[in-house]
This record gives sequence, C-alpha cells and structure tokens, in this order.
Amino acid sequence: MAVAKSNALKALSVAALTLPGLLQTTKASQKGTKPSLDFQYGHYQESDDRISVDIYQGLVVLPVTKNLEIQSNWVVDTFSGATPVLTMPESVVQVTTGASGISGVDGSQSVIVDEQVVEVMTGASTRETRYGVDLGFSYILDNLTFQASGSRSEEPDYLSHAYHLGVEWGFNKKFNTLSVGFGQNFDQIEPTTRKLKEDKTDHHFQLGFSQVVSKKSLLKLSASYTHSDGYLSNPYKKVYIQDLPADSELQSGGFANVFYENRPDKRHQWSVSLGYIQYFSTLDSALHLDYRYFIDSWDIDSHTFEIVYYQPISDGWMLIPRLRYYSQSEADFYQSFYAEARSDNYYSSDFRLAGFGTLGGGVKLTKEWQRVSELAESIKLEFGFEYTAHAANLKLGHQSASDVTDFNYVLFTGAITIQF
Amino acid sequence: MFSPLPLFVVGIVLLLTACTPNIAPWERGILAKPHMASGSSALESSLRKHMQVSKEASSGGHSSGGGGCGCS
Repeated sequence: MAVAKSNALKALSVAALTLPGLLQTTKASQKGTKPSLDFQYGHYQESDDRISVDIYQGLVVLPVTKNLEIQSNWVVDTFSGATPVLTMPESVVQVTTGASGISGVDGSQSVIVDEQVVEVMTGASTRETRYGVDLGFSYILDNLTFQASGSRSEEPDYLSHAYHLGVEWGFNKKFNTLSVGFGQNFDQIEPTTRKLKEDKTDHHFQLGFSQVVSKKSLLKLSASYTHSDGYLSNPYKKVYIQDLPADSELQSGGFANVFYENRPDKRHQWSVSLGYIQYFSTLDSALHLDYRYFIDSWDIDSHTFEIVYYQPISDGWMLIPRLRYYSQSEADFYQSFYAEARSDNYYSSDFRLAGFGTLGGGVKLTKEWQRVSELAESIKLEFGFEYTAHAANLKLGHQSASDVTDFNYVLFTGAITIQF
Repeated sequence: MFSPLPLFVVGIVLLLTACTPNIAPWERGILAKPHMASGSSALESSLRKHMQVSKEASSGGHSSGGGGCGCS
C-alpha cells in the first residue's frame, strides 16, 4: 500500500513539475513523449450574405527524442460572399442595387460632414482559397525550452513567409517562467483586380512571464511589439474624397471622387496582456480571465476582456462556455467619407479601422476517451458554437454616429485529437 | 511615443517581490490539470486569432503566429 502510494505521489509530482501550459510555447513540448494528430473543421458565417469561410486544419506532433519534438500544421481556408469596399455619402449615390453596389456617383453634389452614409459591397460573389503550412520544433534543455518555426501562407493575391524563434525559462522551482520571442513576416501583395505588386515586412517581439500564485491559481503577464513596414493599405478598399488635389497620386476607384485608400507605410503596435487562472475544488472547474490593452501609432487603442470557464461533467465530458468583449477607437485618418482632402494624404474607410465594439459568446462541449485501444492512448472530440455582434454602439464610451457597418457572425467548430 | 514595456517590467517586479508560494511538489497536482493549462488547443487558438485579426485592428497577446491577408 505504502509502495503504491509513493508511486502515485511520484507520478503526480512528475506530472505537476512540468506545469503544463503555463505559457503556450511549452504546451506542445510538455505532451512530450507521445505523438498526436489533430484535425479541425470550422465554419464562419457573417450576416446579410457577407463573407462565409470553411476552414480545414491539421496538426501533427512527433517526438523525435526525449528532448526534441517536431510539430507541423496546415490550413486550407475557402471563403466566398460579398464584402464592403466603400462607404460614401448618401446624397451622391445615383443608384444602389442592393448588394451589387452603385451604378454611378454624382460628382457635382457637394457633401456635408455629418451626412448619412451608405455601404457599397463587392458585386459578384468572390471565392478564394488560402493554403498555409507551418513547420516547427521545440527542444528542451534543463529548464530551458527552445522553439523555432517557419511558415508559408498562399492565396491568389497574397503570399506570406514567416519565421519565429522563442525561448522559455522555468525558474524559482518552476513557480515562474520567463519567455522571449522574435519573428518576422515577409508578405507580397498582388491584387487580382489591380495592376499592383507590393511588399510588407513585420517584425514581432514578445515577452512573457508567469507566476504560480497558490496551489490553485496562477498569473500570466505578456507584452508584444510589432513594427510593420511597406504596403499597409488594403488594395481592394476605396474611399470617397471631395476636392482631392490632382497631385495626390491616389489611384482612381472608377467613379467621380472615388479613390483607392492610402494608409501610412509604417505602423508600430504594442500590447500588454494580463491573465489569471483560478481552480475551484468543489466543482473541479477552472476559470480563465484575460485582459489585453493594445495601442498603435495610428492612434488606435483597444481593450479586450475574455472569460472562459472549464467545467468537467463526468465520464470525460467537459463543458466550456466563453464570453469576449472587444472595443477599439478609430485610426486618426479614418473617416466614413472625406468632405475635404487631408494634408497628410492618408485615407481609409475600412470598417476595421473604425471605432466599434464586439460582444461574443459561445460554448464548447468535449468528450475524451482514455486508453481506447492498443493503437491510441486517447481520443478527444470537440464541438463548439459561438455568436458575435459587431456594432458601432458597442464601443466603450461615446458611440459612433453610423451603424452602417454593423454586422454579426457565427462560428461552428468540430475537432478530433488522437494521442498515440 | 507610448510604450507599454515599463508596465510589463513593473508587473514582473511586483509579482516577483510577492512571496513565493509555499507549495510542495506533491501539492502541484491541481496546477497540472489540463483545464488549468493556458489557452485552448493550438488549432482552435490559431483559428480564433486569424478570425479576430481579419476583423479587428489589434493583434498581439499570449501567443503569436498567423499569416495571410484577411483582406475581405
């Protein structure tokens, strides 16, 4: 009995000493000794016949030695549907034909600043596929975990190559971890509807820190900085500008006073995140709280709050409800249309740079079978659903005047994980 | 220009100066439970992040990665 107890204690201590998932970077390596295979399907659908996306993803984790592990994942996204290209003053739109856009712009009309706007969508339904692949490894050396990965993502108008390097150090009897990461993205943009070929480079830096607070709780703190350089505009988005000087070099968007947008070619982005995880003995459940503050050199700042609750039920079943609130302020050069030209020549009416908020919630149900057969150690199935509302008046503080870009979306996911 | 790095450093110092918890190795069982692990599965968090980066102006957080246009 004493021997059994001591063995159990030893096993638990070993499991516990690895402190799984204190930070994302070590999570894969802590599964460590067993190969695993993941597959996930996701369906994303926006309201009003806007974008819908089917996402297929796979992940293979393969331990090579006790300390070295290789991970590879791939993704295929296929999206279709209409997307907004332009918001413009109502008074100049000559004809609107539902989602198919405008047939003309009355350039002789003089627009006023607080005029009502209409949203113009892409005409025919677009359909495009993205293929992405990522290969990485992690190596454990005493209290250090090294990670390196490279990835490629390709779609008809966008090619991206990236790498990431990271190291995590567990110290103070592994009550603490400290991690540092660096990566770069090299992107090429070649829109299908314009004669244009542009580049963009991103540099990312990350710092992470975690602290065990008690037997049942831990804290995480992280910071990130991204520097982007190059073509940062969206090549499909247009703007309505009244009285733009002829020497502005903005490309015409096909109608009077309509041009392709133009953003600054540099952007600095910072974020700080705080996370807290608390375990409740009575229900064997865990509550995860996360907050992120984001700020950038385009004068956008945002707050994100997220709550996820893990409730094991019985027999390997678990229920995971989640709630997320996000609020951002608008970029300093953003306007839904421009009643006059800007001196810096930066223009964008892309809804992503507007002030808005989102509120989303969902639930996931998972079931895990242990020691299923001689072949598989465990099999886990997951089903999730979530709904998000995206609205101008969900923004923190004062609300934006126009609700023309409001929409909502749902996400369904199904996943299987096999551990061998 | 504002940088949140000082906030991060102050946060770490505050956490480190707080008492190290008095937890024996065999008392770490709860911290090792799968639902105490940070974040969702790798595939789920990558899907969620790609979706958020495509619709919102912010990025960064507890993990990194991504790629692709998200132009629509």
